[in-house]
Amino acid sequence: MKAKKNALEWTVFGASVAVIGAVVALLVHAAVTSQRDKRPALRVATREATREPEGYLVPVIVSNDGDATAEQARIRIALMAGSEEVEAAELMIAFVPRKSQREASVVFRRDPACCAIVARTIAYEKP
Amino acid sequence: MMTDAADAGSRHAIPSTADSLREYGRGFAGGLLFSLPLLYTMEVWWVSFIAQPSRLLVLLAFTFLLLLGYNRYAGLRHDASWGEVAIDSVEELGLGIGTSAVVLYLIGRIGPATSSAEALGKVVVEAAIVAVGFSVGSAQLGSRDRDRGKGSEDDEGRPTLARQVVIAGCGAVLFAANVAPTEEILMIAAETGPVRLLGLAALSLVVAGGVLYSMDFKGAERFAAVEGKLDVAIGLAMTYAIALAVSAILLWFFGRFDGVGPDVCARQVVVLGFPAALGSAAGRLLLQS
Repeated sequence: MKAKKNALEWTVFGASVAVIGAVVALLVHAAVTSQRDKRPALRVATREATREPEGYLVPVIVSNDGDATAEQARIRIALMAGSEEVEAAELMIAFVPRKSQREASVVFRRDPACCAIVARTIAYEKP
Repeated sequence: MMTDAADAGSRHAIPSTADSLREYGRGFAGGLLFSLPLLYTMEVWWVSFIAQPSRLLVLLAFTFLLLLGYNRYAGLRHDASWGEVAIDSVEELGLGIGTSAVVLYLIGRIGPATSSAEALGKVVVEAAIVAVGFSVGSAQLGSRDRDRGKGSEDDEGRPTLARQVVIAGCGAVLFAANVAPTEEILMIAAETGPVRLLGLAALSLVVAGGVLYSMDFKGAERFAAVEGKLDVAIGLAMTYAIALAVSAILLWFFGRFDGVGPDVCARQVVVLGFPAALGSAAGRLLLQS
């Protein structure tokens, strides 16, 4: 082959081969390892509350360990004193991609320190 | 200008680093020119993490084929062998991936907190269109004389069928890809009656035919020359068929056929077929020179 290229062009070509190779390898790996029955697996965790002028801000981390994206995920976070619900907040996340996490926050009027925080997914759509 | 004139005489010499940089620069500008609307579109980011890895692989393969075809028939080096064409296509795909990763990072769509699956999806989907833009940019945005001997004019005079199909396909992809991922295509398809959609199809044909044969469009005389009415009919049918095929491929990739009945699928193809027809007709004239 009589390719006429200078060092820069060969470098770009080499880097391109490496990048494309890596991308294809990752995609093939992902395609092979992803499960047959693809569904989202959402997990909700909360972090420590901070005092804000509006109330108590509780950061919420929604993780999707599944192999499919969850769309319009609705999360409910409740402050429970024993079996009684003291206060609750809801949030909606447009997309939680597979193997990814999204961060959000909810604001309570009451100090969450009074109660146990129970966070769970109520619903999501499969895209 | 001076350097370009000097280059024209030495087509078979190794290009200087400055020349290569200019060529990459043009490709970079072209890539961004065609892909920025998509890089800035929410639906495309979403598609990229909804799409399964196997579909992303198909997209990469399709993009590479398109690059091979375009570089072979309308690329910078008209005397290039398939080997050189393949090398150019690999470079453009690699640079497309790099460019899309950098821009997505700068606009805050990927970062250290993004999972690898999500980042990979976004980069690959955006890279496809950046790479095609890269190829078109480096070939078409340059001043014209570099790498083009006067002698090759004869080979270009009579456009072959394969060449026209590939270039019309590139035009359709570049133009239709900007609207294909949007929700609006599905909305129009679902809410518009069949008579109006037939009207839209007729308008697509009229516009494509006008561009190719009767508007004195730049390049029409050379790339869409006809000898009779039959030639016009064949050329137009081919252009619209390519537009519809590209439109179907794009819609499938963006997941617009998933869980949708055949009727709405067909309607969507016609809706997206309008910009695709315009792109494929204009592409046949403007994307080769």
